[in-house]
Amino acid sequence: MTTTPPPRPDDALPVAAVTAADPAIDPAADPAARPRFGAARAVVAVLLGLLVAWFLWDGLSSLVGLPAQFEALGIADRTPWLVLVAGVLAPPLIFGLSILLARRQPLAQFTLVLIVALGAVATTRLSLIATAASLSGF
Amino acid sequence: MISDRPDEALSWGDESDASYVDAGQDALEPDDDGSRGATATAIDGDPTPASALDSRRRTAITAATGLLGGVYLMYSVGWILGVGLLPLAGPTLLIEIMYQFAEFLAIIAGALWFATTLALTRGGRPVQRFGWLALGMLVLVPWPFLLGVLG
Repeated sequence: MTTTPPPRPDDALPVAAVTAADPAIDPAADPAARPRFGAARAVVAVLLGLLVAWFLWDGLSSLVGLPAQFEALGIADRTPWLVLVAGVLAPPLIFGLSILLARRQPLAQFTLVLIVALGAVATTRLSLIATAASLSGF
Repeated sequence: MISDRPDEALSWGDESDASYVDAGQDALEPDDDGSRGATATAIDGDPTPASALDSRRRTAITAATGLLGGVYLMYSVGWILGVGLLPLAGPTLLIEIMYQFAEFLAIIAGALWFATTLALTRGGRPVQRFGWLALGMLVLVPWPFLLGVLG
């Protein structure tokens, strides 16, 4: 024969109070229940990040090298500084935002979003090259 | 339910079968007393059933998505034409390969953005889908082509 245990003091609390206080019930309060970034996502981010890094390096080399070339040609006043700076800022900005947005997605979707971001980085880079060429009259 | 009859697997079963589904009974079709049709009718005396409005809304969303798909297709064509107008020349083989890769990425970026947006906003709110598609239309504008044409 079994007896019903007496109610614990917690049982008298409203449901909202219990869920807010108990991390086992409220997933948001429990760090272990949240989806973690994980090693697989980190590997994908690093691999695609290497390609993005090339675009960053290309932008940096333009920022460093082009003004000198323009000066040598005697058209230093036509240096498209804004475009050159945007070429350096855009790749990490776009890629970083995409990681931020997709970090809670499953691995396949996370990878897909980062590939799209890589495509956006490429289009931005080529658009900036075309704009720089157009502004400087080449 | 397991039957001993050897030809059981060759028949569709009947209404006594637990897995039987009446394909002739449409969701739009009112019951005998007309109750289902009455609940689907809009509140203010509008004779258009709610499911018909929903169907029209879905058609509008599909049409708008198709229209934006056409714009993205034009972007891809713009990039195919635009990359030929770019003054790109790599001093080394590696840089040349990377420029070629960038051009390839730029050409497929529109299709990738469109497909990814559709895949990730499936079942979500239409405003979310169209918001992302609108953002893509701003980011992926084929400036090399436009500047080449305008110049």
